[in-house]
This record gives sequence, C-alpha cells and structure tokens, in this order.
Amino acid sequence: MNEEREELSGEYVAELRGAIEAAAAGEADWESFHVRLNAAVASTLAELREGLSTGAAWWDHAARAGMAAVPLGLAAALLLFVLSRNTGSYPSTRAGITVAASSTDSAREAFESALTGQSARRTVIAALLPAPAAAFLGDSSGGRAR
Amino acid sequence: MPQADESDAELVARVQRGDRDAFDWLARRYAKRAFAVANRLLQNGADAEDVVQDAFIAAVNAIDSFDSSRPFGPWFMRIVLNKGLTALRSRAAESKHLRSSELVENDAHAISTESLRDRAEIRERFRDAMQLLPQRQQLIVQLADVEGFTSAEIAGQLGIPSGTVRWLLHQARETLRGALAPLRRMDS
Repeated sequence: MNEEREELSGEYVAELRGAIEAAAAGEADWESFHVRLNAAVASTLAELREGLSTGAAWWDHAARAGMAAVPLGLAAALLLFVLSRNTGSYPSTRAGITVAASSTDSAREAFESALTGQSARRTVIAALLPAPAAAFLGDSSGGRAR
Repeated sequence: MPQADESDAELVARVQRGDRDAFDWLARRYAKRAFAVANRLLQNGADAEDVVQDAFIAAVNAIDSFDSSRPFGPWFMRIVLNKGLTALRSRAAESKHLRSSELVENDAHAISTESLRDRAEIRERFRDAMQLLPQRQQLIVQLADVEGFTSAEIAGQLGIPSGTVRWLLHQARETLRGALAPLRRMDS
C-alpha cells in the first residue's frame, strides 16, 4: 500500500490482523450484528438490483417496439399492394378527374369558349390538373386570351 | 453464493449489482477490524457497533459510484474512521478517550520458546502484546500496518503531527515484533 509498509513481513501483518480480529470477536454478538446490518441495507441493495433491471429495460422496450413493428409492417405492405393495384388502373382515375374538372368549370368554359374559341386547349389542361388548379389556370388563360 | 476466497473486488462488483450474499461476506470480512478501529476511538463497544453499522450503510449507499478497480479496504476504513471521529466529536470527549499515554512496559520479549509450540497460542500471545499497547498506539498500528494508511494520512485523520504518528508507530512495532521474536526464532 505504501513505502512505510514494505519493510513489514507478511507474517507480522497476518498475526497483527489475526490478533485484532480475535480480540474483537469476543466483544460483540456478531451474528446479531450481521442480521441487523443485513436488514438495514436490504432496501438499498434492492434498489441496486431494481436500478440494474431498469437500466436493462431498453432491451424490453426494443423488444416491445419490435413486436409492434411486425403488424404495422404488414399493414404498410398491404397498403402498398393495394396502391400498386390502383396505379395499374390509373387511366380510369384520371378520367374521373377530367370529368370532375369539366363539370366544375362547365359554365366558365361555355362562357370562355363563346368569347375566345379556346375551349379545346382548356379542356386538355383541365384533364391533366386537379380542379382548383385548373380553375386558376382558366382565369390566367382567359386573361391572356383577352 | 460467493466463495470465501473471492476477492474484495469480485464481492464489491456483486454488491454493486445488489447481491445480498456478497454484501454479507464483505461485511463479515471487515466488521471486526472496523469494530477494532471504532472501539479504540470511542472506548465503548455499543457505540463502536453503531459506528460500524453506520459505516457499512454509508458504504452501500455510495457503492454505486465506487471504482471497483481500487481496493475496498482502505476506502471503507476511511469511512469507519470518519464516522468514529464524528461520533467522538459529537460526544465532545476526545480528550478523555484519546489521551496520550506512555508506552506500557511489556513482557513480550520474555515469552519462552517452549510455550509457543501451538500457533493458536502464538496468536494469543500476540494479541496480549497488542493489548499492552496504549489505545492510541493500537489504533495507529492497525491503521498503518493492517489497513495501509500512511503516517501522513493518519496524522491528518487524527489531527496530530505526522512526526508523533511515526514515533508512536515505531514504538508499537517494536513491542509487537518483540512478541513475534520467539516465532521467528522457531522458524529459523
């Protein structure tokens, strides 16, 4: 431990330690002492064990997250499958948009076609874009036409 | 279940995980030596027991932050010493219990070789020689030679000059070596 002890023989230290312990052995009821001591530190040791298990709980969290990810992944895969199927019938969807756009702006188109004669171009734009954008473009195209 | 020959570091690592058996082993390993320190300070067995119990509780409370690569013994004995000195100060009886005394004359040198054939008897003689030392010397020789404190550390803890510690330690070692002299003669 330190340079002052280097000169001491192991035998001397062992005898000294033995003598100290032997003298102390008869001065207290050591079994009762250890029972009391173990009871006194039981809650602290339990907290240490609990802290250890809390510290390892990230495993539990990860496992639970993994378990939840499986059904979510299946649901996402199913959704993608359905969407990809719908992508295959894309022309019919676009036709629906065209119909909607046409029906929304039918009054305006009728008015503009009567004034400018550009109804054919307007119909093509409306077929490619959603209805609100088509309405906006309709305004500008009408302005340019004027 | 810990083994008797398990090192302090292994037991401490188990205690850090909340192992009750490891704590019990560690406590049994150090309780009597801790009691000896506390009892020499306080001169009262019941108070010394309380100090040792408080020291173990404090050690367990701090065990989480204890670096298990360092030796447990000196760390724990510092806690015992601090608790003992605090108890001593709170009783305001330091002058009564830690008075300076002259080295008691002893008959350790007169122990006959024939009476030391049994090792248990050797230990008993050695213990008797230890008892002949004044309390302050008993405390200093235990802290220095068993627990591994330096003279400067002991001086700092007990609030006495380092030179005084070295002198008292020298006196105590001379007495105890005298008690072991017959054993050395037997071995040679």
